[in-house]
Amino acid sequence: MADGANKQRAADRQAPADAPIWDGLYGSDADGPYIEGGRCAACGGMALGVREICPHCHAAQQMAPVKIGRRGTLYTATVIHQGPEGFAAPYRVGYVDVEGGVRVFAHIDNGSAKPALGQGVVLTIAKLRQRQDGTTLNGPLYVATPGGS
Amino acid sequence: MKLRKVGIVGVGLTPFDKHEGVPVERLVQQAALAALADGGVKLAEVGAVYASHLYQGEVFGERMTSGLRAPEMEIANFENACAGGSTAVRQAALAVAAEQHDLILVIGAEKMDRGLISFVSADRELTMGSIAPAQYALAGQRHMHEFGTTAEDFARVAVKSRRHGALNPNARLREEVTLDQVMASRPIAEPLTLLQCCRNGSGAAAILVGSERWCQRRGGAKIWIEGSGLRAQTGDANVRDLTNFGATRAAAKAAYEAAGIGPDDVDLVELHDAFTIGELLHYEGLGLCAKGEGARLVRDGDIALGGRVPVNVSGGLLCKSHPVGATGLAQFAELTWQLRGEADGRQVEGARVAVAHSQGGTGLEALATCVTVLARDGR
Repeated sequence: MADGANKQRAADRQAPADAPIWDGLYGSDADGPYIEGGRCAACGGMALGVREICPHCHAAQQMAPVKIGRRGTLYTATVIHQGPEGFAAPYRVGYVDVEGGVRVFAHIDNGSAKPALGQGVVLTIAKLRQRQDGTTLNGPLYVATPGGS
Repeated sequence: MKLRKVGIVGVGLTPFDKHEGVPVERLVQQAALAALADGGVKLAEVGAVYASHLYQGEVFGERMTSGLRAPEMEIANFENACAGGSTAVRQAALAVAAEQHDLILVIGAEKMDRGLISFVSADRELTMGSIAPAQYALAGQRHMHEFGTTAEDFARVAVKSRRHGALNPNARLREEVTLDQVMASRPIAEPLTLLQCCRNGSGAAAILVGSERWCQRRGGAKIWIEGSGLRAQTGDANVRDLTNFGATRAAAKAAYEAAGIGPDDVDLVELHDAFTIGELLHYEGLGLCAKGEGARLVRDGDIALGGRVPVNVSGGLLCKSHPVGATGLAQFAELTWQLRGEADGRQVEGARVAVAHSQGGTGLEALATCVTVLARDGR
């Protein structure tokens, strides 16, 4: 993923104070944030991210980007009390099942919009990590679907 | 291909601890020489050395053996994260069974800093703030959601294992703890608290794997490696049932089939309890109970010493700590002592069939799991 690494370096240069926590994980459009998925033209299988090789049928260069994960269902979640440097513990992380059989690892709201397992969730993008050099790293945070699922 | 019988000829252990200032070579030599003495064997009689480690650098086995004068021999290194030791024993057993060697010394060791286990490779989930215990906590939370397992059920695993560890002179933590103490210890990743997470450790273990002739030559109770299974869970494209631990299930099935036994025939188990949640889910994966019923085994005491199928009578990783490359081999040492009837103070009476289980990997998406069936002569 040399292209991805280049994009990451460009992003660092342009906005050092506000970078994605993992390159190519998410994006945003008029409808709000989404997770970067890939769909294989050969088999129709989907994956988290656009893969050079389809994990389902192993076809090369057949995956095209598809926006997924705006909504999903919380599969499981835990509250971490002792996290790596820069994460404000306690914080909640979990797996969200989204369309196409894809499961997304993300932060999960642990406050007023805290979803229970099995509940519907909506994607937001939030500050996940504050590095010592002042850089803020953003990433997916799912919150409970307003008004219940 | 017709395979011949393979057994454990000798075992040695350098009990796990901090071992600050002690070079890893010393830890390995102590365990290796103990295994050779236990088997009544000289290093020059060994055909190969198989070595297990994660953090110790290149040609580990060669470096560890260079201070022990011996003829040219085959040396190979095995890395399979926390399952490295048991993977090396499996490969040794296969090499002896296929008549490539008559006798192989398997060594495993690690020198680790204090704290909780960390991984070498970058991983998306770890980068996003996950930690090793959280990966088990995520499975545990789903188990609680689906099957009504409680935080106390997981905590009771630690109470049980600490009671076992108090009986084992080789254990590092030898004080019993109460359920209240476990529940009140510092939260790590809910529902896991500190007393439910194994510590890093340093130490070494060695296992001599040999043909029937070598087992006969040693005399005493003969311990056979009757079957093993090594299975991985890979492919992040598959959305999985996290309560299932499919690699444990698949490795156990292969091991039981090779040994011609079922889970009901097992007298005791040493399994990978880096975190209490893992232990409870592995009861189910190994077929000691039906899916979703792991908590019942803890509540009813089935897995305690004196129960139906005692698990981690050594105290497990929770009491011994977890020097990654040595962990799996220490399980084989404990089970060999148990099957020989030499486990003073913690002996499982009448033990004839034992299972070793270890699991390693980054996250729940790339797991290596090895299950081995051992049996005493005349089971």
